Amino acid sequence: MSRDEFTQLIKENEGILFKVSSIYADDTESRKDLYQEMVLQLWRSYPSFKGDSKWSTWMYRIALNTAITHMRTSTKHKVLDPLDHSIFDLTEQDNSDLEERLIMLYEQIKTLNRLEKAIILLFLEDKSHAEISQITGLTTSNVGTRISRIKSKLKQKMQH
Amino acid sequence: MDLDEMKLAWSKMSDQLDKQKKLTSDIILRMTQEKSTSRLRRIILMESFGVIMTTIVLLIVVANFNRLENWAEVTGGIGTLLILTFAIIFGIRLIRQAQGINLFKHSFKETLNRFNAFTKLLGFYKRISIIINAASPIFMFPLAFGMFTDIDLLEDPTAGLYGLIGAAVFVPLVLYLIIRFYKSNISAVRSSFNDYKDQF
Repeated sequence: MSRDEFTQLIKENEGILFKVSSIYADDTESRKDLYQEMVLQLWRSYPSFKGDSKWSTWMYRIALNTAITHMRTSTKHKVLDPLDHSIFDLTEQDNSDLEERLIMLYEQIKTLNRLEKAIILLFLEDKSHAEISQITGLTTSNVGTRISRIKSKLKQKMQH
Repeated sequence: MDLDEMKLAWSKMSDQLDKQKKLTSDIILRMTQEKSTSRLRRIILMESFGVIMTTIVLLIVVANFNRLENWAEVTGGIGTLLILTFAIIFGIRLIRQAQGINLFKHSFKETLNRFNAFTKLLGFYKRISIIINAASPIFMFPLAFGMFTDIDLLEDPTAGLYGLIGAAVFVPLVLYLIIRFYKSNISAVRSSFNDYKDQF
């Protein structure tokens, strides 16, 4: 794959990077850092992309691994800012209702641990259990169990 | 907000995101800069090491200059000092030029111009270095023998001859390795700039 193709694929799938960075990083600066780190990591890893899986599956895997590792190291050194509206900098349309609901959604997701965040992100992306398993490295049955746990966890939080 | 609503909000956000292609050229630029600076950093590191070592040798020569006794040793000492001074000035100039190659500080055209000026300077130094390295044993041997041994090369030229034979084998090898190091790093920097140019 040439560099042109790589950049093109990144451009086509940059929504994935935005969503991953917005889930794992809490402030604009960290999100930018993480976004950049994910692109660099994809750039470094893409020679090893064999085409066994879909490009987006591979991209999720690298992006989520990078996010989990990156946030593990960066949170040791800094206190994260509370959730801010700049998550939605990328949305151009004026849709305050959607924005409000997304803020609520993100607030719920922020309460989950790193792996749960990855699973809920993929669940919201409508990925099948098999795909989530392929991306996270968990078994399909484990994915099912974890999704059920996350669902009840979120349900409980929403009721409070 | 239940899970279905969450999924709906998420899907709406995804639709909006898909309509936008916001990957900035800044990130591609950073990728290019990272690749080019890592190679340039190697050159800077190598040159800095060279400048420090050369300065140390120069100071040693200056400090021991009074130990040189005959015209051959003094000529060797002066010649060596000139070569070392020349090498330090060249090294510093190269470092400064390499540090000035930065895609964030300058436009791509300006960066490329700076890079081309750097490679031109490097090419010039390479040619000069070959001549200097070939000539340096002639100056350095009388100096080294005069400074660190009791052998007088004017009385015992055979010792110097062995040294010259050793240098004839050793110097081209070192020069070859140095030139190969610069060539590979320069071509890596050039290729990353070309990649960047192809993107825009």
